[in-house]
Amino acid sequence: MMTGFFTSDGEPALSVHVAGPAGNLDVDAVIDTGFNGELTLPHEQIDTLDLPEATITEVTLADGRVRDVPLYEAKALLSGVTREVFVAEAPTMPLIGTGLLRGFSLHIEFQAEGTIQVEPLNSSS
Amino acid sequence: MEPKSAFSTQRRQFPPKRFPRVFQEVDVPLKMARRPPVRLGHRSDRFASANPMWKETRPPAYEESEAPIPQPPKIMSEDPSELAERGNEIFERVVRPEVDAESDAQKFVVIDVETEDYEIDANARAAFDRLVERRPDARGRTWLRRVGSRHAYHFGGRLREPSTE
Repeated sequence: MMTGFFTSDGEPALSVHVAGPAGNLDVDAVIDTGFNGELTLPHEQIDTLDLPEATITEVTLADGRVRDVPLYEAKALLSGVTREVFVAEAPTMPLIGTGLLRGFSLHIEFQAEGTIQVEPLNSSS
Repeated sequence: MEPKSAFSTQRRQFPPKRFPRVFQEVDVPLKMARRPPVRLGHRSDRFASANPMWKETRPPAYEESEAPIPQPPKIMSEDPSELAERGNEIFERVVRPEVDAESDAQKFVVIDVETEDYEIDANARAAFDRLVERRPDARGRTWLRRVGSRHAYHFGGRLREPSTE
């Protein structure tokens, strides 16, 4: 089990450990249930980790626009579980999508001093 | 229009009018015969390079023109929009007849746009890794989408109306 925190904007966030060929980083990432990918990082952090570019895909944004986005290979460690993931490049604060949360339970208390808890499900798929 | 050369800019009437008429009917490339070969070090080369306009338009010397043009490394050099077009065309033609678009709608498809080889998996990374393991040279020319949508991911919620394929 791991605990998260709220950002100053009141968004639930988790610390994810991301590893690439050039090293690894602890990234504070906002939990974004409107994003169905795994993880986004800004360009500088992708550069720092020297993540290899894997493939390209189209994504839709909230306003309906469509963008071509490169996807990078990385390893992400969340609540004791390491996975091979695709990292999408986005200029925002790092985001954790529903893809990375698959197989975990997430408990959020939306209140002042509220707790955020993530733990792997037993029958993770 | 033929590009100007050091010689065409100075075209004169040939043969001169004072020559008898018979000279005009000789089927020999007189122009070529009169033209000295362009080569570095020849006096015509020095003459041409003294004039900035000619220098620009003069064809390159043989050694230069034969040199291979350096190409950028072919890693992710494909234009994304071209990749999308080719990837989606291959999906419709090759992949769609092989999948159940209803039950597999959420699965990911990674397509090598060069060989038209592909992999399908519920996990995008697993599909990509399998394809690249089989075809290491496919890296840099693959396209990712879902069976039921050309967009693999959405930010800020799914669009209410699925985009027309």
